[in-house]
Amino acid sequence: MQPQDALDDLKAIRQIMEQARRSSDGFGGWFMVLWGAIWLVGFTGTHILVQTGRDPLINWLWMPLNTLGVLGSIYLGIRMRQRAQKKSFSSIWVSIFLWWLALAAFDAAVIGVFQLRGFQIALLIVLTIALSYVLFGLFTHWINSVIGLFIGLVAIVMATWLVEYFNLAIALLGGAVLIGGGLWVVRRGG
Amino acid sequence: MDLDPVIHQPTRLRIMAALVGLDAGDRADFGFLRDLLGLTDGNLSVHLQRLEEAGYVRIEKTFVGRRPKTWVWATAEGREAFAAYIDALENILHLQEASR
Repeated sequence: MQPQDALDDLKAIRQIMEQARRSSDGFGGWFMVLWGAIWLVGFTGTHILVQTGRDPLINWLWMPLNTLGVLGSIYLGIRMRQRAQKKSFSSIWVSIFLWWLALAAFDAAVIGVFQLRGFQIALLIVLTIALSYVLFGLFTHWINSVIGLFIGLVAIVMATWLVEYFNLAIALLGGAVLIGGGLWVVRRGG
Repeated sequence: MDLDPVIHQPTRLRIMAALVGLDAGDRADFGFLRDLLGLTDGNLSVHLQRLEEAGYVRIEKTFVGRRPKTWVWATAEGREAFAAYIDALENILHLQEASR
């Protein structure tokens, strides 16, 4: 074999190995795209309902959206399992599922104990999700931490100085960064 | 240094690269592998069979509900053979560097 052929083979090998790794790892980005889209619709709708004095309808907006998010996440999980299957697949995804379940229970407890209302509920949920992404990024890809920090920063700034635009900011900025970050993960993998 | 003739074939080389690209213990769905490498079902099957005969990959056919599912993964022997193949390629390049 000629040296140039050997070099070409090595390049092809590295490219395919990287593609295989990305294709199997990057699929998780679709979860971020899904929930980013849900935030975009949900928080925009919430902003409109608040501005038009129809606050009681907010729950009716989020119930189907969250249901769609959960069903979509289950579908994506099944599709992910159908592709490259990781030995640690089950344990990783069970852990992530339990994490979100624990987070939901924590938020529900705080909301119930402190009798939080409307905007306070939204702020709590957004901040705990932001924290989760920061923590995920420490164990997975740094992009998750960046996304978490950005969402947390937007939430705190808007809640402190521009509370009337909090929902719209989370919809447009939070939703966009989740969608963009998710697509980046899909493309790059990990 | 002789190159492993089983792995040296271009399509089988790409198949092994894809499987070894996954972590040890991971396995790839047949369709995932086919789409990743841009192969036809028949082409992939033929080369996987050859690799399985050499002991470099393992193929498991199961069912998910009523749908057949084929899983493929590189064996430890296959990973060693692939690593040896890469070493052989790098040796060819080193020999060229040394002769300059």
